[in-house]
Amino acid sequence: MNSLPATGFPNPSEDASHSFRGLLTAMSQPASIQPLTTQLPSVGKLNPASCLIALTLVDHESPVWLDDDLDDETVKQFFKFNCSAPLIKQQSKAMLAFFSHCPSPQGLANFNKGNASYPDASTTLIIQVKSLSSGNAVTLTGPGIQTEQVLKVDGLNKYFWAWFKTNQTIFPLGNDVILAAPDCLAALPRTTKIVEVS
Amino acid sequence: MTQIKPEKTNRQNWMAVLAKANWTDLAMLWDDFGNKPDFKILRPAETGLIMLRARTGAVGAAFNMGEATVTRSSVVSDSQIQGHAYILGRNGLHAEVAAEVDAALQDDALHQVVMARIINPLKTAASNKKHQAQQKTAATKVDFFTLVRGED
Amino acid sequence: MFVAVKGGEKAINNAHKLLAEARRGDTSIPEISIEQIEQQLSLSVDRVMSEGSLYDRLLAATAIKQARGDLIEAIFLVRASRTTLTSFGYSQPLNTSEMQVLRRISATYKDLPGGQVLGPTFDYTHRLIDKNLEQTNNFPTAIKAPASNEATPHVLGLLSDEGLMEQPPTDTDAEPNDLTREPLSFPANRDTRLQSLARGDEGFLLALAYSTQRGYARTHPFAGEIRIGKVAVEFTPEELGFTLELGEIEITECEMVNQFTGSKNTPPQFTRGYGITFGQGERKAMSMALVDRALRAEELSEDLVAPAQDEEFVLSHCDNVQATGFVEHLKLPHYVDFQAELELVRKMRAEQNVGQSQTSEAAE
Repeated sequence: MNSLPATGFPNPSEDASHSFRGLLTAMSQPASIQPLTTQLPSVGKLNPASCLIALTLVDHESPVWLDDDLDDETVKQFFKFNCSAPLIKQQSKAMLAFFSHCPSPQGLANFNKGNASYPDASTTLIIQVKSLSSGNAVTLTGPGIQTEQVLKVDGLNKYFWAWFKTNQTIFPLGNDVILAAPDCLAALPRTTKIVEVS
Repeated sequence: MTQIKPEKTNRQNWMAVLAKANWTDLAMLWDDFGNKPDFKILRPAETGLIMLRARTGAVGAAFNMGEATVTRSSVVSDSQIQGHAYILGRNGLHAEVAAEVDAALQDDALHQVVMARIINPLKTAASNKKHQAQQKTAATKVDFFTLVRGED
Repeated sequence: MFVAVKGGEKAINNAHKLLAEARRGDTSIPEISIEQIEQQLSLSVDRVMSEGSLYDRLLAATAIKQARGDLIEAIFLVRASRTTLTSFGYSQPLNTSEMQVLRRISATYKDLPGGQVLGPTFDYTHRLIDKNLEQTNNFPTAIKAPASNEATPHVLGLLSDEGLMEQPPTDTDAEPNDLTREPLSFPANRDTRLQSLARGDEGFLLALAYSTQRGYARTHPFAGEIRIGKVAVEFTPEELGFTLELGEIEITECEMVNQFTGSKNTPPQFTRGYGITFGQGERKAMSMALVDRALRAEELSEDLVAPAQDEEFVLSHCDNVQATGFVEHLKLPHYVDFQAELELVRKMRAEQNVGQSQTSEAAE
């Protein structure tokens, strides 16, 4: 309890504005690689991109769910101290969920999918991956992508893209995903469609 | 109507004294306090809002009555003790000093002398001020009496 | 439809400089400080905090100075200012039973446990202009008397103990609605109504409260208790996990007692209306309590006959920042809209003229 909590942005208002802009670009240009706007250290198993996302999007009104590997004192203290975030176990109430590694499709089944009045109320899934510059390539299309966009990802399991496809069958409901690599991030909003997985 | 409230801890008590302290008094006392530990800022003073809640009919269900400005700060002493402060208003220095004193008070080696030289004088000043106000209020105590009307 | 206008920058900049000079007034007279406003125009500060919905005395004083004493403009400034601040969360509900009382009166019981104290009141003054105030440093000092430490429980608790007072709702764990997060929608719950009234315009609520006394939704009110005093603000930060006291604020609280003849399910009893403001705002707190009670008409199966009972009417119009925004926007350029109306009226008149000449031709 008495260990020091990892601290947040060095310049909170400026850093948060830059990273918010970065996340907005990531969401509006799906699968584009966005650099991390502020260099942050890892906190336990939470990688720098996840830390950046947490500091930018989480506050006392956004309940956060953490997977088993992230659910330790260091990470929890980081969320409480810097984001005032309520940490919860109930997946359906989570506004953001952080995964240290790619979960199984069953592991994603119970998160909030939004509702007809507020599809945006669904849980945003932040999934940590090893790299967004090497690994299997996937070709994507959809709003925000002019023709096609190829994304290389190392760290997603073989069921992920199948889950992502079923996620689209309930549109406008569904979850948005942010892939968090150690040095960059990319977003996969629910509107993005898979052309081909290699 | 009477809610049973848990007894406040020592830390809650001294944090309340620091939050309610007159800023100039606190600054002076802490300035004069020799041999302070060194502090590093864990979270720079930040001003934000807290929504204040009241109760319907003073005792019923809660509702949001309006906000207040609050400033918070967190520091860590050279012996790795964390101090925190949340204080009404926008005085960042007040929050920072309160966080430093909070850290010092958790240090066994410093606790007694900080209590004696910072907290107790602030407490006395606050209770004197409160007593003055209460005395002035007491002078306006009113005893109304009703007169019997002249009709049968 | 809105059409943008451009231009006027130079005139606008110059107007703002002129405003700054007008704000300062005659420079041979000392400039007023925000501390002076905070201390000596404290009831203005209280009103700006209440209706600005933000407790911060010096910020309100600065807003009053900037607004040249125009309180609605100052309230607007405070509301705008709060939007720039991050939110830390919600306080514990204020425990007004543990208030350090500066004033406490009841119009229903003369002998209260803890006593009645008048405090710094305008009541019983003669409302004659005090020529002494034309000079400075000319004021009497307050008298002191031994302070009692007697508790000051809420007066309406006395009626509750006898079973003659409705019990307050007990679902105290329900998360109240927050108008700063969720826009107003109807029907509104009492928590929403109270939040809306707490930031509502004093003048508007005063007029509505007056209307209930004059027979528009007659509710037979008595001022059960009015108290002014200091209460502690408590908050539980997520990272600490325990409750902290952040300081004290001054508030005014009013509980109105209203006669209620009873209904099918409820025996005759007293009902209550509640008002609360930041600082010393007795008139507003009383008005709020009367309007709160009037707005409970439907809940208490009373006839809905008066404006003060109509929550959509009251809540949609009690916010003076919204009201002033919509009323005052009329002075902004509406050249295109007006041209359209002008065209329309000309066209209608032309058509009417044609019609008239046709009928007169036909008559000939």
